[in-house]
Formats: sequence, structure tokens, C-alpha cells
Amino acid sequence: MKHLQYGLAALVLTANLAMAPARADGPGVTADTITLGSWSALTGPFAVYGVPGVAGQTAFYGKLNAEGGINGRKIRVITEDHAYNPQQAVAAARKLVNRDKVLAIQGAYGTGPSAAAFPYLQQEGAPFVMPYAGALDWYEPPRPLIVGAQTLLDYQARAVGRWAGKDGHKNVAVVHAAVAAYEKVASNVGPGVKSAIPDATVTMVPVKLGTTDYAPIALELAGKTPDAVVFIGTMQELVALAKELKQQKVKTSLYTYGGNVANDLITLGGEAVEGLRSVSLTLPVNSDAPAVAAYREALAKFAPNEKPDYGSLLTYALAMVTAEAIRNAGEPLTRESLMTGFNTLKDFDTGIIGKVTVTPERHLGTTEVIPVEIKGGQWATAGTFVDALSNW
Amino acid sequence: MHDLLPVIAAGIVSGSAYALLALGIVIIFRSTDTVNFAIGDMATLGVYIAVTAIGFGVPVAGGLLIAIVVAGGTGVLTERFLIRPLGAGHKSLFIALVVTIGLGLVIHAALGAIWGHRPTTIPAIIPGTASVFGVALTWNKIVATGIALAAMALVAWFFRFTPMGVAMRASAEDHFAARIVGINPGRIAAIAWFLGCGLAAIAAFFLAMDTSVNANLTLAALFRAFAGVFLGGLTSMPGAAIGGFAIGILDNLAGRYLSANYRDTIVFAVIVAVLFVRPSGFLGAGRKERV
Repeated sequence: MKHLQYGLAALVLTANLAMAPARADGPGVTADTITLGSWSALTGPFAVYGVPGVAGQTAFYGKLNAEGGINGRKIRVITEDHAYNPQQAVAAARKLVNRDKVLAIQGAYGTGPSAAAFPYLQQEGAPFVMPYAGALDWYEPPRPLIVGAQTLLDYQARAVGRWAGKDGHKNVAVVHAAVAAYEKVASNVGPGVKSAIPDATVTMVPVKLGTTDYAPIALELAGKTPDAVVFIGTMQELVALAKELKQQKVKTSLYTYGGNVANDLITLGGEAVEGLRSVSLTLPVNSDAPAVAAYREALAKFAPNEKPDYGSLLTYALAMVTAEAIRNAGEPLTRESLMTGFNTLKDFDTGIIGKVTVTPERHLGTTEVIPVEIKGGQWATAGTFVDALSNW
Repeated sequence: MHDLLPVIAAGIVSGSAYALLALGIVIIFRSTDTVNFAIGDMATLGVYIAVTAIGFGVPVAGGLLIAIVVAGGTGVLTERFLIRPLGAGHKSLFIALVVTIGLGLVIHAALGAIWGHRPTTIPAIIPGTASVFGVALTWNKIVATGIALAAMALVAWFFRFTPMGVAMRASAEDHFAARIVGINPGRIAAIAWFLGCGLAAIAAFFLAMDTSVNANLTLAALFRAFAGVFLGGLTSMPGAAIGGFAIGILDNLAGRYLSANYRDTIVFAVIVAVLFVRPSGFLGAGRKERV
């Protein structure tokens, strides 16, 4: 009788073990799907950046799913609109994490709105990965649940300053939007210029954000006769400045940073932006590189309303990094293993942005940029990827 | 100060857009006691439809006419179906103000939903630049200023010398008395809204030529136009036009000689100072009510 009891107990235990799940996957992970969350500005004035950003990741995951997904699982991304409003971003975070049970927030757009959601994400232990945004305090010191690969604007500004210096410009004017975020970025241009020419003169020219009439600023610059003008502000204002400088026949070299590298700049600026130099986060969208060609094909197929451009190319590459981290994470796929998957990325080459290396001590995967310039009405590379923080 | 004349010249051409918008606001306000906060969005709607038409091969000048008709027509429909049913009185004035704000938001959202959020361009009517007092101005801006001045002259002539214009002035002075002498207030209001929104469309069209076609096309200009309206006087058409030009000049002077960052602050500080001395603006009529 006792043997029978032991036998039954062993049978029940074996049956339980057989019926128990083989793995304990994290939120948003099922046998055939991985659900990620994202947010962006799909309406309002910032939709001009937000909509292409979503299209890039849609194209990448569409292509990935068509090729079978990751370990047999398809990727599903739920995207919420925050209209660049921090409160709406917090509401989106609550919905995605609490109701939709996403594994992580991926490719989210907007530095200010995203930062507003960090306390909630931290409380819930939800990773925030590969954002289409970024700020220095997100990565220094590294936060356990935040990881990205978008070279910071501060670093881009330093790199473009250095480029102006390397081009021999000793008298540089930095025209920048006079709000704290832009001022902070613009303050990096001077050290960049001086890293190449220590005795260079760098003059800051603050301009009200949203300025449409650049005539007085162009006239002021005409009086200062700078060798180079570095512009840190929005694309539409860069166009207005470039047009006025050309109109007032101010002979100077114009530089800007990655946020303004877009085909719209050429469409709007025309001849006024010909010769403009910038650092870019990605190869040009018309590049022959295989990864960029694959992007154009995927975009045409999975986000046909969007024309190839830099915003969607960048988010396509960032989604590629996330996919690689999911592969690295292995099984079971949890929020913890996903972060481990990111932390083991070493020199991961998307073929589009700088090589990505993430460690527990370094959560910004790349600080590389590529110099580009407008030649013959098109963006063209003017070198190879360089570390924005180095004296390249 | 060696470039004072060029800065003033640049200010005048910038001010032409503000003056047209300001004139549009005042024409509508004087005829229907409504401050139309949607005027910029109605004008932008007209520009978007004009751009679509230009895309189908309509000449740019034809596009300008389309923008005027669409914006004017939207204004007429708004007055007829959203403003007029509210009736008269102080309470309805406030509701009308809120209605126009709401309508502006709806049009703004619709522009993004229909045409997308990416900016586009309109080719210049006359490409190239000309030197005026030592400052290079695009022909586009010069033509815009010319059209603005011509439109203002036409509006002034219309209100002073045509029976309809005189009727509109009479209606603006006293709706009740105007009705007694046989003036149809509905017709007057429709014409005023068409004129006001049409003038705004001219401003928006030329702004778009110089910058880009986008949903926020008139945002900054409208802000300055309202400043011009209050500077010149909410009840005075010449005052609004002069106020618009004055804002353009002040804005450029502040941007060039004081601070490109605080130009708005400086301009509005001047306006506050003027309104402190003359609360009804340079040419506005002070309102006296019997108690």
C-alpha cells in the first residue's frame, strides 16, 4: 500500500512537471508573439518627425516578420500618440505597460515626453530601449533599464564644431535657438572648434525659437563676417537663415547637426542650402550600402506612404539593434534577459548607423557620426563614421 | 546703425503680412463683433487647396485666387452656420470667440490628417532678388508688399466710396439702425467675412512662398498681426494696417539692434507702453457707454 502511495505521488509529480511551462517568459511574450510598446508624435507640429520615425520601425518589423520573426515569434509593436505632450506620454506608458503588458518600450520618440514617463517605467521595471530621442542624463550615469544608440545632440554639436575648426574656420558664429535644451547643445560647438584651432573665436548668437523672419539676424551676421556659421535649431529656421544669408550675399560656410539632416531641408532650402555640411547619424538614404537598400525596399513595402528619409532610416536601424538584443537574450525572454541581450552587444553593425557596443557601464551604444554635405541637391558622405567625442 | 534703412525696409516687407492679417481681423470684428481666431487656419486651408491645384497644373497666380476664394468661402460658411445662430449680445460674443478657437483647432488637425505633416513649397511668382536701400529682398516679398498695399487701398476705396462699403460701415456703427434703413446685416456679414479671410489668404500665400506650406504657416504671423491690431486699434482699419507694418519694423529693429532672442518681448513692451497711454490704440475709437 505504501509503495502504491509513493508510486502515485511520483506519477502526479511527473505529470505536473510535464504540464508545467517549459519557460517563464516575461510580459508581452507568448509562444508566437513578442509585443513591444512605443510612442511618438503622430499629430501636432512634431508629427513631421514622429510619423516617419514610426514608419521606420514598421518597415523593419514588417520585413523581420515576413522573414519568420525571431525564434519563431513575430514582433508586434503597439504605438501610442503623445502629440509631444509629456502628460500624454505618461498616459501612453501606463496603457502600454499596465493594459497591453508589453515587454519593453522601443523606438519611442521625443526626449521631453519620454523623460516624463521614466518614473512610471522604473516603478514597473519596464525597459526603455533604442529611443528616437536622448539626453546626457539618460546615460550618464547609466540607468539599468534605459539603453539607446542615438548619438547625443551634445556630441553631434561638438563633432560639427570640430569639423568647422578642421576646415580652418577661425571665426565661427553659433546661431542657436534660445531655449535651455538648444543652448546646452550649442555650448558644445565652441569646445569642438577649439579642439582643432585653440585660438579660434566662437560667438554665440541666440535667436528666439520659432523665428520666421531671419533678415535682422542675417544683417547682423553680415556685419560680423564669420568664416563659418553653425546652426543649432529647427530645420525650418535653418532654411530661413540659409535663404537670408544667400539673399544678403553673406559669404560664409554653413554647418548644422543631425537633427536637420533630412530631404525636406533640400526641398525647402533649394540652392540656399547647397554646400551645407552636417554630421549625420546614418548613411545617406540614397546610399548603395546593402542595409540602406534593404531599408528602402522594406519601407516601400510596409510603410508605402513614407518616402525614404533620415528619420525613418534611423528608427529602422534602432529597431534592428533591438531585434539583435532579443536574439541575444535567448530563452526564456524576459525583461531581465532582454537587458542582458543589450548588454552583450559588441560592435554590432547595422550597416546604417555607427557600430553599437553596450555594456552594463555604457548604455549609450554609439557615439559615432558621419560627416555629410549637400552636393548637387543631394546629401552625400564626406568621410566615414567617426567617434564624435574623439579628435577625429 | 549704418544699416538702419535696410532693416526698416526688411521690416516693412515682413509687416505686409501682419498688416493684411490685421486688416482681415478688423474687418470681421467691425461687421460682426467677432474676433476670428480661426482666420489663420482658414487662410492656411486655402493655401493647401491652392497647392493641390497647382500640383494639377494650375498656374501659381491662379493658385493665389483659389486660396482667396477657399478662405473667403470658409469664412462665409463659418459666419452663416456657426456665428450667426449664436445671435447678438455680450454672451454670444464670448461664445463666438470660443467657437472660432475651436474651429481653428479642427482645421489645423484636418490639415495634418489630409495633407500630412511634412512641409512643402510653392514656387515664387517672380524668382530672384532686388536691392532696396541696400538690403536684398526677394521679388516675392516685394510683390507681396505691393499686393498688400494695393489690397489695403482697394479695401479703403470699397468702404469709403461704394454703396455696399458705406452700408457695411453703417452696419458696423449701429446694427439696429442699419436694419431700419433697409441694410441686410446677413449680407454685410457674409461680405465682411469673405473679405477678411480672403485678405488673410493673400498673406498666408506669400508667407508660404517665402517659407514653406505647413499647418503652422500663419502661427507666428497671426501673433504679430494681433499685436498690430491692438497697436493700431481694434476698430480702425487704417490703424490695423499701420499697426501691422509698425510691428514688422519694430520686430526687425529689435532683432537687429537689441536682441534676436528678446525681439518679441521688446515689441510687446512697446505695445504695452502705447496702450498704457492710448488704451484704444493709435487710431481706435474709445468706447463710451451710458450707464
